[in-house]
Amino acid sequence: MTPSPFSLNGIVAGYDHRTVLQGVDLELEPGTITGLLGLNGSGKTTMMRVALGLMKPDRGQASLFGSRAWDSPPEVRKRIGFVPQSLLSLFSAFGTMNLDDCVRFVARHYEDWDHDLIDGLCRSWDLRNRRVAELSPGDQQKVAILLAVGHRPDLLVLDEPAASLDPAARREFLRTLIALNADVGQTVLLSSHITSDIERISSHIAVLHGGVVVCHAALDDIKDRVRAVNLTEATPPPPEKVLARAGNRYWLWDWRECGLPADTHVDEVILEDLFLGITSTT
Amino acid sequence: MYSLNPASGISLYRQIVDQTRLLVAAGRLVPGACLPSVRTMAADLDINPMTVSKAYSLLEQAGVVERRRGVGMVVTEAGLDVTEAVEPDAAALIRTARQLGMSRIDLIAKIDKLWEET
Repeated sequence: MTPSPFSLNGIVAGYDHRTVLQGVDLELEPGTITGLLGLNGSGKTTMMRVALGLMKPDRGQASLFGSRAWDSPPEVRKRIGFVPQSLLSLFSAFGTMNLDDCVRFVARHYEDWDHDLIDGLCRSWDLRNRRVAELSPGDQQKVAILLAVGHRPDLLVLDEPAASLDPAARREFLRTLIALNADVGQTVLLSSHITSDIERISSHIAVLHGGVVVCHAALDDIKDRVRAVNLTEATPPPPEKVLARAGNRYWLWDWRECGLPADTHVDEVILEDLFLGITSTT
Repeated sequence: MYSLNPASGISLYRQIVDQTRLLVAAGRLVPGACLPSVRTMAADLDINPMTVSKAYSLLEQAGVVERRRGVGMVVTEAGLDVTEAVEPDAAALIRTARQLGMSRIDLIAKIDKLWEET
């Protein structure tokens, strides 16, 4: 069996005296696009950093394509693309270069840089060959995406890449992700607060809450099999069927098998509501 | 032709299946017509190609389209069955009626009455 491109097992990690991740398990199937949801400060960025070997966990195993993330060899690293949330470090290195030089500099490190893809994106995103530091925040975000996808990575990790893009650029960016995924069969992990973007392109979702991944499932399974219902204390559902609960609002797997009262009103899942339900419990 | 709502509680592949059935039943896709390739469809709708493949497989299983080598997914005569196309809406109506405690006879009577008026 080919090893997972991205695997976290019992990860505990944090900063100084604050533990952010308290036992994270998450394994991505090759070729899937996973939307990572979590409240601000839930540890999405920390989780990505540990998974990519940029931060050493206190406990647990992080591996990339079967090799340990923390000291993975260059041939593994070349298969990965990463768009960090904070572009500061990126642009303190490239800020004074103009865009073309910056792309050429990064391209030199890869044998199979896709110049056509990058030229096409520069055109459709209307990126001009200015100094990187002089570009608008939205355009800088586009540059960070360019630099992360030019070598057609097998694993692409994006930390809120769409936050500063206008709707047109965001749509173009999603289209690029989809096209890359169709061409390369690349595995994608994408964090975003825009649930409708995640619902559009993701095959799976993962929710990080309370320092653990509380839900990791195929989006189609959730929409096909999960329903939201209001239940009183007199009619509790089987605990193993409960995906999330907020007060007397329950999200249940396979609701037909839950023995609900016949007149129970059953609602389809609105992902944003489910997310708020999951994250309302501590 | 397709109008998808990613935020809906109905999964995207289901929306494609349901809308394809309606397009065929309404004569906007005629037997012999070819559906766009998975890649084209995914790019046009800005969705994951796996979602389109899944919808196409279901449509094939249901006999609405057939896979022809070198051509793609082609609409069949069987796809013209309008009773299949209205099934999702009808099922939703039945669920609502059940939740409201309405009997089958009452629902059919209501539909009969509306049929004359609408």
